[in-house]
Amino acid sequence: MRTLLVCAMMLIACIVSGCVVVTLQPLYTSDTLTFDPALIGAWQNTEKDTTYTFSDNGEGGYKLSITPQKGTTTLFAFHLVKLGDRLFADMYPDITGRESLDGYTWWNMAPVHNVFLIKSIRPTLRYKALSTEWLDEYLAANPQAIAHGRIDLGPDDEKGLPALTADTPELQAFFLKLADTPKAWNEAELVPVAPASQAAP
Amino acid sequence: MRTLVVCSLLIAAGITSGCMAVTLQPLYTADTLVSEPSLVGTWHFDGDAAGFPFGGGADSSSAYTISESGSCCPSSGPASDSSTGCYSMLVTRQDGTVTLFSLHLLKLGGYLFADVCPDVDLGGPVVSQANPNYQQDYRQGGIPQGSDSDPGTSDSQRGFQPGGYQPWNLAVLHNVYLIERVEPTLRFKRLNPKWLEAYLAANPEAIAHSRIDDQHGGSLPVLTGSPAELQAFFLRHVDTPEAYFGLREMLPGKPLY
Repeated sequence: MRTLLVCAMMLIACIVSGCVVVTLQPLYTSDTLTFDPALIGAWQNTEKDTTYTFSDNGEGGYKLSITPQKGTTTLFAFHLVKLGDRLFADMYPDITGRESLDGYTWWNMAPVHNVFLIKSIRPTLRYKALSTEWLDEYLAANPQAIAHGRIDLGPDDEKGLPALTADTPELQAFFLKLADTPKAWNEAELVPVAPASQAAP
Repeated sequence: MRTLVVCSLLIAAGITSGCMAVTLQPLYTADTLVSEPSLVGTWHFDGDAAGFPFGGGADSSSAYTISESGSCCPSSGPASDSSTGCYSMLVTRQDGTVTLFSLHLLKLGGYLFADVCPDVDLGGPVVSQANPNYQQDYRQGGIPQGSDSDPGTSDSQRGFQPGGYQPWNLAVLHNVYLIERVEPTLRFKRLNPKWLEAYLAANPEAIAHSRIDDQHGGSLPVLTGSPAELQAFFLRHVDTPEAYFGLREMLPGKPLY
C-alpha cells in the first residue's frame, strides 16, 4: 500500500511540475548553433515563483541560472539550435569543476539534456516540452523509432522517465519530425522581468 | 613479465582515475532479488577504498551501514510491498556528513550481484544541506532539521533534489558489483571500464550503450540496455577474467579513526 501511495504521489508530482523528456547526447552540433541576443535578461514563469536569467557564455551559447522563490539556484548551459526552419533549445546542468553534488559523484548520477521547441522569444518566451505521456505511448507503439531507455526517479519509482539514448544526428531528425505534431508537446511561457528594450544588450 | 607489468599499470590507472562503468537502468528485476541477512550491519574497507566511490569523498575512513529497506518498487517489475533484496546503504564520512544509497541484491545464474544507486526520492520532503544528517533523518521517518518544507508542502516541491536540480536534470545511475562472498567479510569487484571500452569498440552491437560527461571534460561509457539485456550481458562476462577487477574487501564494524 505504501508503495502504491508513493508511486501515485510521484505521478501527481510529475504532472504538477511537468516532467521533461531527457536525452543523453546534446541536440546541437556546431553547425546548428544559433544565437539570439533577445534571449538575454531575466524572465519569470507565469506563476511568478521562479526567475530564469540568461547571459552570453561567450562561446555561442548562454549561461542560464534558475532561481526559485524558495530553494536553491541551479546553473545550466543553454544553447539555441536551428534545425530546418525550427528553433529548439538544449538545456544541460553546468557541473564544470564540481567533483560531487550533495555527496554524490558523477558515477552516481549524470547530467542529462532537456530539449525544448521554441515558439517565440519576444515579447514572451513561448516554448514547448515533449510530453512524457505522449512519448511513452509513441515508443510503445514504435519501439524502433529511436534508441531509448528509462531513468529512475528514485527507488520507489516504478516507471521512470523516458530517456532518448540516440546520438545527436538521430536526435535532430527525431525532434524535427515531431515539431509538427501538436499533441506531442506541452506549451509553457516565460515573461520578461524587465522591458525587452532594457533586457537586450 | 612485460605483459604483467602493462596489465598492472592499466589496472592501477583504472582505479586511480576512478573510472566507473555504469548502467542507466537497474540490473535487478523483481524475480532476481534475494535477501542476505548477513549483509545487514556496519562495514568498513579493509585497506584501500580507491576506485569504489560510494559517494564523493567517501573512503577507507568512512562507515558503510547497510539496513533492510521498508519496501521495494523495482522500475522493471510490478510494484511490490516485499522488501526482499532491498537495502539502504548510509555512507558516513569521517567529518560526519552522510550520503544515502539504495542497494539491491540479486542473483543471476548462481552469481550474486549488487546494484547500488543514489537514494533520491521524489516522494519525500524537500531537504537541504543545513543539517548534515538530512538524509538519515528523512529515512528515519522524520522531517529533517533544515528542511525547506513540511508534510503539508505541495507535491511539486517534494523530493530530495541534489544541488537543487530536478530529477530530469540529473539521471540516477546504477553501479554494479559482483559479490564474491558476504561472510565473514564482504568481498566484491566491479566491471573494468577499460575492458568495457575495448569490448564495446570491437562489439558495438553487444549491448545498447552511450556516453555521459564527467566533470573533467571527458566522458564515461553507460550501458543503456534494459534490465533483461543487462542481466544477460553481466552474466555472459561473469567468468571473463579481464572484465572484472579491483577486488575489495570490507570488514564488519566501524573504521578505527
